[in-house]
Amino acid sequence: MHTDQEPLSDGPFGGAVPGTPLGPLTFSISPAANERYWRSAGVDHPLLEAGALYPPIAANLTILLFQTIAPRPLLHTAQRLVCHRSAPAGQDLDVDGTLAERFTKRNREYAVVEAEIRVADELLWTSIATFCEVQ
Amino acid sequence: MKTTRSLTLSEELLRAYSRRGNFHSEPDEARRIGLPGLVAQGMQVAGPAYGIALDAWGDDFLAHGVVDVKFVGMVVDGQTVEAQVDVDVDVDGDEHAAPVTVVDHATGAVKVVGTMWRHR
Repeated sequence: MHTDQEPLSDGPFGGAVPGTPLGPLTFSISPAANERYWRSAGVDHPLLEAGALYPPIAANLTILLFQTIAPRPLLHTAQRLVCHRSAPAGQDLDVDGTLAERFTKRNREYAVVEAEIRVADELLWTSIATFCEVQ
Repeated sequence: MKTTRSLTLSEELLRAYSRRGNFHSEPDEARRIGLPGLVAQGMQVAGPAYGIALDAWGDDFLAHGVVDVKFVGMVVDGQTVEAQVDVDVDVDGDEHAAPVTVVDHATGAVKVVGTMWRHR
């Protein structure tokens, strides 16, 4: 993983505003790490045992992407994940995105992050995650 | 067709699903920020539901699946959750969006709600 992004301020989510670009970051999910994710989520399937990447990992990558600018602990409140193809574990995954939206609900600040995860320049997953800060 | 699957979210499983140094994996960090225990990540709680959909739809769900869920209740280590997914198949064999619910097995409190389906 590599990034040179820094929090913008002490405000919620580092003061980031809608449109703030996030990333790019590069991750490699090894076959062993992939298996750790699906097994610890109570999922077991021959396709995963054969080495297919576990798509819900996209949410973890989105959190890591947002944490490059949001310095405080985050609660994940919603997730939309769209798969565009499948891929085997062990390849580099390129992740980038934007802070798409900020809103307030019941006096609590929320942020919506849209991320795209690519493998070998092909779109693999689209991840839209909503967060609030731990209070 | 409603299918259920349960999962006990032990400390070991929470740590396996998370990086180190945060409230999902370190009891001291969870206490420091006022949380009642290690908190399971939302997509880990939704995992048993994902597994039901994957069993139903296989490779097509890995390649063209959509998951749209809200995490409406906190789950901490030691809790058992029960996922229910209604994989609806009509007479033409065309699956529609499957409603997803994950509840605390002991109390019935809802933890995750949403839908899963395959896009074309």
